[in-house]
Amino acid sequence: MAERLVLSLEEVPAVAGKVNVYVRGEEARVRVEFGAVQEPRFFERSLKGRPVTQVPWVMSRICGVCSVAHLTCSIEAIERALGLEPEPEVRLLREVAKGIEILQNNFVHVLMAIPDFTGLSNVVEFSKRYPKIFSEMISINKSVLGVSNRVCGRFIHMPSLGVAEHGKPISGSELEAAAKELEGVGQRMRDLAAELSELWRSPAEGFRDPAPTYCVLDAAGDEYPFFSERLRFSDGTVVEAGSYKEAIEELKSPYSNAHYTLYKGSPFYVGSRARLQAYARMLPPEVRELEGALRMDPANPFDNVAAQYIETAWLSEVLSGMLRELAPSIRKAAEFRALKDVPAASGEGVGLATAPRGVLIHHYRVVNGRLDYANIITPTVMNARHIEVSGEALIRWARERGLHDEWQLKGLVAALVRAYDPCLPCSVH
Amino acid sequence: MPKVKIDGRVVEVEPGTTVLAAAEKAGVRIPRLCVVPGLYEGSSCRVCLVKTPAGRLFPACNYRVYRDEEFVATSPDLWEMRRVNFELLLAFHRIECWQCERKGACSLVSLAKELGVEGIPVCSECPLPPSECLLRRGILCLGMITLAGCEAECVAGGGECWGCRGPITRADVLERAFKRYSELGFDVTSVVSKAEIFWNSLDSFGVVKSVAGRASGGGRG
Ligand code: SF4
Ligand code: SF4
Ligand code: FES
Repeated sequence: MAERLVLSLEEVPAVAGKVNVYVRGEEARVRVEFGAVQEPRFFERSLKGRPVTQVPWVMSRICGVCSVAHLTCSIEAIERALGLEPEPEVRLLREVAKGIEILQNNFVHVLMAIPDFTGLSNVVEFSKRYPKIFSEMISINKSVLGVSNRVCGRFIHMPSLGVAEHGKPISGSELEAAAKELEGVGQRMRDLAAELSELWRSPAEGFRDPAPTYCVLDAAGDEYPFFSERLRFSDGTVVEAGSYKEAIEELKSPYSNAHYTLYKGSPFYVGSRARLQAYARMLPPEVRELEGALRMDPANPFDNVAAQYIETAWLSEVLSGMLRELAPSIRKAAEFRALKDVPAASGEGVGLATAPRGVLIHHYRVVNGRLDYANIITPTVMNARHIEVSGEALIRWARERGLHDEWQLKGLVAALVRAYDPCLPCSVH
Repeated sequence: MPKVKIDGRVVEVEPGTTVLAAAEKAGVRIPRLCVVPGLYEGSSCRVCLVKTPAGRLFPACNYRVYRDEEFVATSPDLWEMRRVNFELLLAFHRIECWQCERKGACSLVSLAKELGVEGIPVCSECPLPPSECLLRRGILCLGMITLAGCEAECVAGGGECWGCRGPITRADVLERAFKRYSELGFDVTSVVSKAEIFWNSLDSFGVVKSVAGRASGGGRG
């Protein structure tokens, strides 16, 4: 039977990068194709032969939105490959940098996706209808960016981060001030949630994830895993970083430049929703309450947006705690920039980082201090197939509920894609 | 008292006031370099040029008004003349901002920015005093050979300059920079390798490579 093109979204608004979503097929056999429009940029191949110290700075350019994720994951991979151990303070500041990015990216995405949860057509409309909430959100974002400038020099392509180093000298009192600012952010987000609660409506309440497997970084104890040496899947499987290829199969999409991945032959998802489920035990009670305020259903892929909000509030507490802990002993910071020469050694290493949108993998082989091989798997690549199966299930679910209007179906699929917060530049690195 | 009209704004001034002072009173900005009012008014830089509506040119810093007169202080041709005058002066200046204590407080640098003259390195905006230059700590910073304009954001933020604003193309500045790199133990190849990241596809990178080639004793370039 020839396929009938049912819906085509040439571009999903409020998504980082351009994406095509085609929904093909008849009622019962609908098929969703999620594809990036961008051309690949060959980051992995073009850096072959370059000194490894240059690699993170270039890799961070894979994405301007989550540059810190690529920068730090790249640094981690190099440190593993060369057996370098950063000083504990350097590691902590790197985790703070990573955390600030997750927090900020999540928060901005909530703002981008908020029309879907308030029945409005776009953010401008939202800002006009709810100017107080909107300006509070903008102001929270500003506070977060202020903290990142203070601790890491700049929010995008943070100049202070490097292999085994943190270049920006920072005083204990500056760290205290940053901690205080973030604490304030946590409180403001909880206050804001009370107001949002009145408006917040899921676009597809009761819709369930057809493929409930997820993947996160394995947390050591009760610490938020900004970085880790292991992956953890929701079926309990734990995979060492070096064996990621045994668990995650990376395949080329037949209809786009992007790749997609499978775990045990099936799609899985990554991101805030996965993290909140996996690390639920670590959530402080006042943050847990936000789940009620936003009526979060962890089994509903749309609720990744609510999860992002909740994780943001949580991270502001985690990070302010870390900064407070760091403040008294930070005197050494000015000397962090001591590492002059990264040894011209050889080795192989896999960096795992929690990027805002999910698990990020940078895998490098270094020969005599130069990059010899690189493989990068980004969260959007991991989510790609999951978006498709969820989309297919969503259309069936909506039709069962009598929704046949093409325009409305399109809107619903677009909202679903947005809820995953996909980043297309990342997926075609 | 004479009335002076500058860019359409009229002010009354004491007889003998300079056009520069009158312009200041009228809120019209005229760039200047050499003048130190009351101390040096020799009009040697010609950066403060203004003109009459008929097109006669004067240096605003020492032309004095005794009767009602009108001047133009803002026009594309004036800016172009000021820029050329300044570039000629700058050509004789030994640009070595990395060694200079004045850094951001330098009037040459601020004038270059005001007039849109390129060729000043990132070091001019660097927050670190020369004694704390990253190069002295073995960190390869491209600030010496990179065009200023970013307020040395990366150095201020705890990193080094990677050259994202593009290369300086003035050969004498590049020569001194490469001399400094080798004095501090950086080999030319590593500087060029780092510069390649942002500059590889720029024509102007050719100038840097040829100076680098000469600095390393031939070979490259
Ligand atoms: S640290 Fe870099 S920008 Fe600053 S003076 Fe030294 S070379 Fe120039
Ligand atoms: S890399 Fe770019 S922004 Fe950073 S200091 Fe150099 S020129 Fe300025
Ligand atoms: S300021 Fe130099 S000529 Fe007027």
